[in-house]
Amino acid sequence: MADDDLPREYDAIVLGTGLTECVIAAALARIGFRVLHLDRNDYYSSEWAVFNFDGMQRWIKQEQTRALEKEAPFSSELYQELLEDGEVLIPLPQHGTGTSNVVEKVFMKEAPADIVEVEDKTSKLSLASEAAPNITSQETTESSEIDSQNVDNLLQDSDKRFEESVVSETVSQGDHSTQSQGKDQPLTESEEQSENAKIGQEKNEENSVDVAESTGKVEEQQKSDKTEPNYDNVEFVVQESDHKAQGAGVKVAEKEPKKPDKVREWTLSELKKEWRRFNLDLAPKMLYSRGSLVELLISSDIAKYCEFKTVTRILTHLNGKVEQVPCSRADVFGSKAVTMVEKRMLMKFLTFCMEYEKHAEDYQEYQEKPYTEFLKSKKLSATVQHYICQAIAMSTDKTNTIEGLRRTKRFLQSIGRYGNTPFLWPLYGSGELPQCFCRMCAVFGGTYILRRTARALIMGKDNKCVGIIDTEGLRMKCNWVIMEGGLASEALLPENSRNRKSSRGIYITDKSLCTDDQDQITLMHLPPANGQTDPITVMELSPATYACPKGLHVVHLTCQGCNSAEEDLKPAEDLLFKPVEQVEPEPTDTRPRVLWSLHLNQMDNTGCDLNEKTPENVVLVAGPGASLDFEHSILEARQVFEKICPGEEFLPKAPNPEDIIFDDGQEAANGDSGFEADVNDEGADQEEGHSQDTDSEVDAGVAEEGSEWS
Amino acid sequence: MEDYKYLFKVVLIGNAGVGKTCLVRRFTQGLFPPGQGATIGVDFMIKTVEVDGDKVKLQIWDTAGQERFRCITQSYYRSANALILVYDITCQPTFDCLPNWIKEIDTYASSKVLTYLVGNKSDRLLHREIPAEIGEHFAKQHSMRYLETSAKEAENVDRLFTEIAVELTKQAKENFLRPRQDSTSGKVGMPNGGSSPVGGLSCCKLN
Repeated sequence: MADDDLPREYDAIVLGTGLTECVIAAALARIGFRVLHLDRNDYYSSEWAVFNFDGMQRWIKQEQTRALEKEAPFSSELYQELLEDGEVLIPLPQHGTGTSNVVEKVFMKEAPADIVEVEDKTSKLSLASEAAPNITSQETTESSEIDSQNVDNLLQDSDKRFEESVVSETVSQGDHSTQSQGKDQPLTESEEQSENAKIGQEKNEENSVDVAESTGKVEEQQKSDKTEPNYDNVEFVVQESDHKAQGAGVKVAEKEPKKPDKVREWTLSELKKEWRRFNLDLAPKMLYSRGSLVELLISSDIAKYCEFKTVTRILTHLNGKVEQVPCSRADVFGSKAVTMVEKRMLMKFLTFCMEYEKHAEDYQEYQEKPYTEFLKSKKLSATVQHYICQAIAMSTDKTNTIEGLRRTKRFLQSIGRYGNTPFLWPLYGSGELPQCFCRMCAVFGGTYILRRTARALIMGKDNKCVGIIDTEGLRMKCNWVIMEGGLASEALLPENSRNRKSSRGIYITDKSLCTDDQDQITLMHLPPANGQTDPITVMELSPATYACPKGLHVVHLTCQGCNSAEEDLKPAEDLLFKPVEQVEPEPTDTRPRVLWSLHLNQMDNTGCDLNEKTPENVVLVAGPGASLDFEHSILEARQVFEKICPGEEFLPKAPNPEDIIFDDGQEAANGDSGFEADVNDEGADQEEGHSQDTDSEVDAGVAEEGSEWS
Repeated sequence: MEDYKYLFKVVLIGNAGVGKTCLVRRFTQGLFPPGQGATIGVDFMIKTVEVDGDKVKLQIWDTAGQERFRCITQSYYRSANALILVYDITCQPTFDCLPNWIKEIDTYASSKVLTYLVGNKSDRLLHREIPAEIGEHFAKQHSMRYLETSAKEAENVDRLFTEIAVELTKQAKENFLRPRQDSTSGKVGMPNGGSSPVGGLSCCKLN
């Protein structure tokens, strides 16, 4: 219907909704370009997308279909009548994809096992032994390892396996039911019910628990559910660490102040029931608090479309243990992991790094030598060297000193603007960010059509592109085409563009890598393995980011791709997670268990000049690449914009809608730019009842200051 | 400096041509029909109303045309305090699309979000295709409140937004009285941007 009055002429047609394309689309629309923005998918953000669990299942299926489907031969005769004299078509691949080696694995039972008739609350607890769930999961693991080609069979298969699992679970149950479980947390039926009630009632955004409400529900549920068997009570295993009570456990916590962390044994069907509560990123990235994306979001006011949380901790793997790296002044002071002497060393060195350029004499002779050697020469202890090299500079043994210092400074500069680490994480996933730029583009007149792309570029004389034929067979004229590199045909791409790839792993786990308290957002780097030159990036997201439901965590591993993602990431998985193949994991093994994983490789064309072979008004842009941050994408978007509109302002702030205020029918112009007023308003709001957030919410005052290390 | 007690984000959705922009313009500016092309560059409209002596600011977001090809971004729904789902009572297809919209709401919006189903163009009685009872029944089935409006005749438009302001204020006050455990503390607005997160009900919104 809407096609009829769809304009057929644009200043720019943008293909693909990855971040770079979206930033360019927004910037062009902002200065008055007529923009048509297409994406062949039915979701936004292309290779940067974020999905709930359902959406992820659909994506996996889509990728496997695309990998198998044969490209229908392109016949330009079909479109001859749309062409003018002298015009020729460059067909664009329709099924090509920058993603490969997509492998999904499930390490859970399909459904909760109906093992016990719930009669006595204490006897139920005997099932909550530590070994039992792992044995059963092992059963499931071996047979449920599937590759993406077999996703369809998964359900049937796991149904069969389910029976096996039940058997083994029953056995292990016998083994452990007589053991005393002294430290087990006595879970009452009502707690569990309230947990269920919550799940039923709330959707993906309601992460926190209203105490009063759930208590009320507990009583209701208790009455109504007496007749139903309740399996879930067997699913709690007790963890050693203690932390603040939350959710349904509050009532118990009052009686028992030391409330242990409970690890619930999830099944696939339970996980699927919570599909909305997942936000799983294909290409998760963090923002440097003083990085170019943060500056752009602020200067363009696109920040109003998104929300962020600060990354709460930087972890590192040292001497076989995962520990927290002190990186702000307060952290360094407070750290128990380093001695007084080391604290002083670290303080002194980090302060030096903030202005290392001024002290060239200090590092001159090491410039081209490894950073590690320079650190050694500074007589820093081994622990401190490790912190600086691996966690702060995110470097390896091979990184040279000048690069190491540059990275250290970049890290330190962003500390203190919004929190004690240099990074921000976008709520609902980094895949939401491209959409924020799309909104800005649409507000400035850009037209959005998903499920549609270009079938071919129309080339006029002088090797200039004059428009596209879209997949509905419409001819759209334009002056510029900007497209995701992964969508281009071989004829347009430079030879080396498909050489590099990134390896990614997404893991849903049953607990945090380093249990401390629940709401952490974690960044960690592991040394390269298997021929890689760059460290492996580990991000862990807690439910507080809306990445997953309560009781679970999401871990993202990213590294340069040398082999398949599975092979590349295996060493890191072995280090971080409980072994899936081990029948009887060590009881002392406190590492998280992987419940579900997805591996994939993405083409990484961030390192090459994509536009060697393209017509002058066709611009290819790179995908997300393996880097931790958004710097490459923002830089590239800015360069493309400058090429198309030299001298124009890049995403200037949109007029503030609040400048038009209608108060009881009377126009009252608001002269404020909005900044001071808004900040003050926010302060006022907090006084009025948002005290929970006051401590951690960012204070505008802090933002104005430099890094705390300067 | 502006003076208001609560700020709520109200989001309009529904098929193209049902009169979403007209409703906003009628309410915020008292205009009908709105000027052509005037929505370019306007993210949302603001109107302050009074509820029990408190100033309540409504920030009303329109779809920016992204509904035309069903391409609304997820982030559009994210922090809405209220949703207004609009159809045209003289156009059956706009009613038939409601289940699709509800699916989007269920997937992306907060479950606590206050939702209104609005049958617009109630002045065009002769052309009515959807009886009010059908609309009302549908709204009930999906736990939405129901109103028929005419942006042209200004019928029920003020009432719609006033009801929303009253209900959200009530919720905000209840939430204030009943502190919640908050797992989402530590959210970051980017204060330099002059774009503090929508406040007011944020104790709800944050949860």
